[in-house]
Amino acid sequence: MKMKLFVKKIFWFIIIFILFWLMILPIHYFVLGNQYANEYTGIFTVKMDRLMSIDEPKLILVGDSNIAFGISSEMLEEQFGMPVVNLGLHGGLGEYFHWMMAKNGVNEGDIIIYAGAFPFDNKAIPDGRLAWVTMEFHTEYYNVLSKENYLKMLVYYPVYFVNSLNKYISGQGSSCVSAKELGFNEWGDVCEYRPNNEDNQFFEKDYISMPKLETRISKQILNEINEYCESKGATFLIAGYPIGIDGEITDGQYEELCGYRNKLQSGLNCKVISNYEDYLIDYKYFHNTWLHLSSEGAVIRTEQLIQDLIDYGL
Amino acid sequence: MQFNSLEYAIFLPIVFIVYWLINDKYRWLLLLLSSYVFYMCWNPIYVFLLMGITLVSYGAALLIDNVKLSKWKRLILSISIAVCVLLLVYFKYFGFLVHSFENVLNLFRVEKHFSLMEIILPVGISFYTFQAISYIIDVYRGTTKVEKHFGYYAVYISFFPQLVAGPIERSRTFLMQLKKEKIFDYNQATYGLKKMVWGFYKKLAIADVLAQYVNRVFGDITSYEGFSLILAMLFFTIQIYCDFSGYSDIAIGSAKLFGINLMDNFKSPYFSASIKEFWNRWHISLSTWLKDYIYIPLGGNRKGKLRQIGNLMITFCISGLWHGANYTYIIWGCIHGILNSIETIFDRNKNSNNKNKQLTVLRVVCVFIVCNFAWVFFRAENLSDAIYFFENMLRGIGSKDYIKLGFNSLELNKFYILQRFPLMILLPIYDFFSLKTDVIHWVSKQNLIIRWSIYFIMINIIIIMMSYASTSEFIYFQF
Repeated sequence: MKMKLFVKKIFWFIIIFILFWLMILPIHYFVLGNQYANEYTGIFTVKMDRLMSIDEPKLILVGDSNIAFGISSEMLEEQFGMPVVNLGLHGGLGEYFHWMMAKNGVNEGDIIIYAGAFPFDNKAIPDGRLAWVTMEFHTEYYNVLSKENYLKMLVYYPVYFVNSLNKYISGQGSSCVSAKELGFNEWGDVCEYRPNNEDNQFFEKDYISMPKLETRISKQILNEINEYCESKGATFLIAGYPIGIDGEITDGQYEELCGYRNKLQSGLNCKVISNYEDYLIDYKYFHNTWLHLSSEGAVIRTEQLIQDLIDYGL
Repeated sequence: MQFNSLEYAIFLPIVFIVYWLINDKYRWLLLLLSSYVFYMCWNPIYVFLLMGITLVSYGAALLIDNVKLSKWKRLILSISIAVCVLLLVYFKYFGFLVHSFENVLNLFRVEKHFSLMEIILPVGISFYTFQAISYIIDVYRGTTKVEKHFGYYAVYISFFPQLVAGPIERSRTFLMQLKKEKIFDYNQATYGLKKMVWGFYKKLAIADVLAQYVNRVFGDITSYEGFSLILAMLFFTIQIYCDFSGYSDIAIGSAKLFGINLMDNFKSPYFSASIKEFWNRWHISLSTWLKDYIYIPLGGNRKGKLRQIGNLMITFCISGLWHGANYTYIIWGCIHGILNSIETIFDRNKNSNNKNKQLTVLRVVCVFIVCNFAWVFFRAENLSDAIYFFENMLRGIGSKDYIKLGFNSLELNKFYILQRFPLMILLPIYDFFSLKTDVIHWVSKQNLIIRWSIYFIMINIIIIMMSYASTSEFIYFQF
């Protein structure tokens, strides 16, 4: 009997708890609304709007922030005469999230280039808070969330609500900011000037981040993505990401990078278009992290990507 | 598996439900299996160490009970304790001892560097080793009956709520409860849940908030000076209490869900009017262990003041060393040993002290301040950091911006203080009333709306604070 009472009380407590947060949700939506538009991830909707607005065949760049900071879409557009959409956003959202962003706008004739620095080891968003901050109440794009993320999003809702409330009270929040104000250009590249990391003045990094895409799970997910693109009449390609190098690289590491393209290609149905050793870039051409190139570095990397695409036959 | 993790939030209810569904005679087995699973979540290989210590102490106690000659009993006792202590020394102090040896050689201008393989400290080793040792000694002394059922004994050593950071439980009280037929006790279970809520609150809403500032300052101490150092010291004093007592409350609360009462580990320690009282209220399971198995066997206070002071110093130095392989911990222990010794020498009017309330308040404040300074050694990364702290904490005190600069260098603006720090007010209120009453019991007696509102608000705060990335490991897990 006592056990029944215990379970009953716990049950009712949970029900009241859920009801409370269900009541908070509409208040949050109608009173506070979106508060994070003026932060870096606020560019999410701008990028999605651009993707959805282009009907002709386009180049879609998919990946973490190395894409946002490391590509000159203008150079790509001039070279290939196709509109470019840079969907690079944030490593904390996971590589799969970036693919799900692209999936919304894949049409016949599109070329999707994945050049992320992290493996596709699962479909969940690593950082639930960041997912809320990025998605907010942009319900029109909620289909970018895979089902693996629902529980995580639910758990992190209270903290997102409190943070939104803080922003609202302190007046630091904003619901609408343009790409330019966020430091992005019309293609979705970070366009504000980023000086080189000369003499490690912005950050220090002394090891080489080797690619890790060759795992069975990553390849399985990449093949699933490729299958989807093919079914839409689009092409899915994998390209290299900038690998920072400071001083000498060991023979072993260099050999590993030289053989990486073949290693990755084996078992993949899509094409790997880059030799990873071509993406070894001196750390001075990075800006503030090992993922973010400086303005000069972005040009070097884009030139290499253009060469890879030409070699591929584009 | 941390208590403040989603894994534990799933693990505990599953074990709880299965525990009360199965027959009473199999419950020990469930507790044993779940405890081993819990431990293996950290480093599966170290489960063999846990098993090893369990086997050694179990076997030694059986032998002690079976042999008749006291010299054999003594020999078995010595060997088994030596095995436990050596394992502890190897995993916890080996690197420290080797580096100390290198330093000694350096003093004689002998430059020698021993290359060591890195030994990962097994979580909770200090706690379960002490439990095993206390059991062997108790059996040897005849104060505890030998436990012949290996399963029950293994649960005593590995019971998951207290496995990694205590309380260091005594075999007699624990095994007695484990063997007793258990019927679900509604009041005990709800009390346990409430105790857990309070523990989580202390950890997430207080300790983890303060940890951000403490880690920032002590992680790069030379970048700070003046009042920011004093703030960091004060924050750490509160952080370590909330972190460790929070853990203990969650452990005690979790155990209650299985019908097992663990000993209290903290009783409002920062309301102590003397250092002696502080040690009667702080980490009670460790201080009573040290008293029973080190201080009293050394002679305690039975052999004159001088010997008593020596015994106190030895006991507190061991207490410091138990916390970690670093000189800073030993100095922290020594400081408390010295303070206890001073009190022993000058404490003449034991009974008259408590009558004067103002004097008691003054003494409480003094003890709190002294504890604050001692904690600096406990928290500092090394001795030179601790020395830097004391050399620089008053820098700029003559300036009228001394306090303001301290807050500024920790980026503590008014908005942030108002947002986070009010949550901490509950701590002194709870502790103050705990001196006279059981606060959880008092809350339970309030009407439904009031008490459910309290639980509701606290759980919401916990969930919100849990989602912040700054949530960290419990400090005492490293010991």
